[in-house]
Amino acid sequence: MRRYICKRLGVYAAIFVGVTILIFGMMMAMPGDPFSGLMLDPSIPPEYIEQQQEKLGLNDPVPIQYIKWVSRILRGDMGFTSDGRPAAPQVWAAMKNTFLITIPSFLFSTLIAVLFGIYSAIHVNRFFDKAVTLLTFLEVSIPTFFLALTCVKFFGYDLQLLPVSGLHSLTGNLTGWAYIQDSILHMILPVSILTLTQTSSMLRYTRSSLLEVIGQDYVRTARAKGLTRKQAILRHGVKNALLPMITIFCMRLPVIVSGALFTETVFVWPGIGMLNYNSIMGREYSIIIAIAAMQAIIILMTNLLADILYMVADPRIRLGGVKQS
Amino acid sequence: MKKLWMRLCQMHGRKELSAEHLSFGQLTIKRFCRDRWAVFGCIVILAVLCIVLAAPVICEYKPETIDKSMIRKAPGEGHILGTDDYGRDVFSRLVYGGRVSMAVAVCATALQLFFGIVLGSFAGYFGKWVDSFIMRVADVFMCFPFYIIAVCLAAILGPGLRNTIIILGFLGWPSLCRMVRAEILSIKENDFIMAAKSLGLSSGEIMFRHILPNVISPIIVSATLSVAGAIMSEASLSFLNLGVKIPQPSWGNMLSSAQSMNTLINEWWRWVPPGLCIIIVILSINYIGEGLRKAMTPKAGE
Repeated sequence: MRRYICKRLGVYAAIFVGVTILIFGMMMAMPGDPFSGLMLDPSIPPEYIEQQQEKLGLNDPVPIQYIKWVSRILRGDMGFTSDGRPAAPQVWAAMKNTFLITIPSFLFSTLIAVLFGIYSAIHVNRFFDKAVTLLTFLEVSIPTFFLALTCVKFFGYDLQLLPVSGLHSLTGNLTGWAYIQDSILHMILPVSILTLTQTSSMLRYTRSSLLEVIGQDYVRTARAKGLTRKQAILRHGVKNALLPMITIFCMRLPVIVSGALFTETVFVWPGIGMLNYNSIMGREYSIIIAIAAMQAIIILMTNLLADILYMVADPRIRLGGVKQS
Repeated sequence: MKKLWMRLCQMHGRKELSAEHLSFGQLTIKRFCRDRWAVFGCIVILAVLCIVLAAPVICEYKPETIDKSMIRKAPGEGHILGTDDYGRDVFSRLVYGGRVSMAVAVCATALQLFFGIVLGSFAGYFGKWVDSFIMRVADVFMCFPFYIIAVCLAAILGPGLRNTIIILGFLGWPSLCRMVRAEILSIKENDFIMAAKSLGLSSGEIMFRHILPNVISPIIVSATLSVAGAIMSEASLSFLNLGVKIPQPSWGNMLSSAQSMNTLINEWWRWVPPGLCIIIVILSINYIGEGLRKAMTPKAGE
C-alpha cells in the first residue's frame, strides 16, 4: 500500500511538472511583456528599463524564469493586470461569486442524479426510466448557452418572472432580509441551468453502473437468501455501484471552482467564468494564465483525492490485490 | 441429415441457420437497423448533409452579401428566415453555416483520430517508458477543463476557421488515446499476436494488420460521438467570438448575436434556428453513436 501511494505521488509530481510547463509555454507564447510600451517612450532611459527587467528576472534564462514563476504561483502570487492592480484579489472576488451558484448546483445535481439514477435503474425500462433516459440524452445535446438564452428570454422577458442578470438588483439599497431575497431570486436561473447541465451525465453514470451491478452473482445470492429485489439492490447493489461513482464525483469537484463559462456569461454573473471571458476580450493575459494554472492544480488535487478515497473504499486496492496500470 | 437439421432449428425457434453466414459488418448493420432511433438519426443527418452540400442551389442569397436596405427584417417574402443587422439573409447563413460547422467538426475529429490512434497504439504496443511518457502527456492535457484551455489557446492563436480546427483536434485526443491503449493492452495478450510475432512479422505489420482491426469498433463509436462533441465545442467557442470569425457564418457565431438583449428578445429568427439546428444534429449523431455502440458490442446493449 505504501508503495502504491508513493507510485501515485510520483506520477502526480510528473503531471504537475508537465502542467506547469504547458502553462508557462502558453504564457511565453502570449504576445507582449510589461515593458514593450515603455521601450517606445524616448523619455525613459533604456538603462532604467534594463534595470527593471533585471529586477523582475525577465533576462534570466528560461528554466530559471520557469522555476521562479512556479514558486510564485504556488504562493498565490498571480502577477498584475495591465492597469497595475494585482490579479489575485480580482480572482478571489470572482471565486466567491462563483461559489454562490456552483455549490448549490453541485449539491442539487448530485442529489438528483443519485436518487433518480437509482430509482431509474430499479425500475428499468418502465415509463419513468425511459423518460429520464430520453431527457438526459436531450440535455447532453443542447448547448448550455442556448438553454440559458432561451430561459432568459422566456422567464426573464416573456413572463417577467425572474431577474436574469447580475448578482442583485441595481435599483435601491436593499438591506437585511430583502437583500437576501433579492439575491436568491437572482440565483434561481443560473443555479437551475447549472444543475441541469451537471445532472444528466452523472445520472446516466449512476444508472448504468447500478444496472451492471444488478446482474452480478452476489445480488442473486442476496435474493436467494430471501431478500426482495428492491432490498437486494438497495442493501448490496447500491454500495458497490457507488464505488466507481467516487471517481465521477471527484472529477466533477473542480466545476465548483472553474465556474461555468457559459452560464456566467449569459447571466452576467461576475464569477470566474465571466472574469475569464472578460480577460480574454480585454487581453489580460496574467488573469487568463492565473485561472488556467489554478484550475489545473485543483484538478490535480481532486484526482489525488479520488485516488485516496478509492483506496480507502476499495479493499482490493487497499490490500494490493489489484495490479494498477 | 438435412431434415434432422431443420427439425433441430425449428425446435430452437429458428427457421434457418442464417446468422452464422453473416460477416461482422453485416451483423452490425443488421443490428444497427433494428434500432429505430439510430436509423432516424441517420436519415436526419443524411438530409442535413444533402441540404448543406446543395447550399449554392438552395440559397437565393450569398451568406456574406450585405444589403443595407433590408436590415433586421422579420421572416417573410424573399427572406424565409429574415435578415440580420447587416441585411444578410439568415436562411443562407444557416445553410452555409451548417457547412462550416460540419466541416470543422469532421476535420477536428480526423485530427483527434490521427493523434489518438497513433499515440495510443504506440503507448499500448511498446509499453515501458514510451507508454508512461505518452500517458503522462495525456494526463497533463486532461488536467485542464476543456473550455479553459481551449479559450487560452484561442486567445494565443486568435480566432478563425483553421485555428478552431487545430484547437479542437489538439485537445480532443487524450481520451481516445487512453481508450486505444487500453484496448491494445488487452488484445496484445492474445495468442494470435504471439503467433504473428513468432512468424517474424515486424512491429508495424502486427500493429496495423493484426491489432488495429480488432480495435476498430470502439474507435468508430467514439469518432462518431466526438463529431457531435466537436460541433458543440465549435458552437461554444464561436459563441464567445473565439471560434469561426464573422462574416464567415457558423451556427455558433450566429448564436452569438443573441448576446445582445435586443436580438434576444425581439429577433428570434436570428438565434433560434441555428440553436435548433445544433440540437437536432448533435442529437442525431449521439443516437447514431449509441446505436453503433449497441450494434458492435451486443452484450452491452441487450
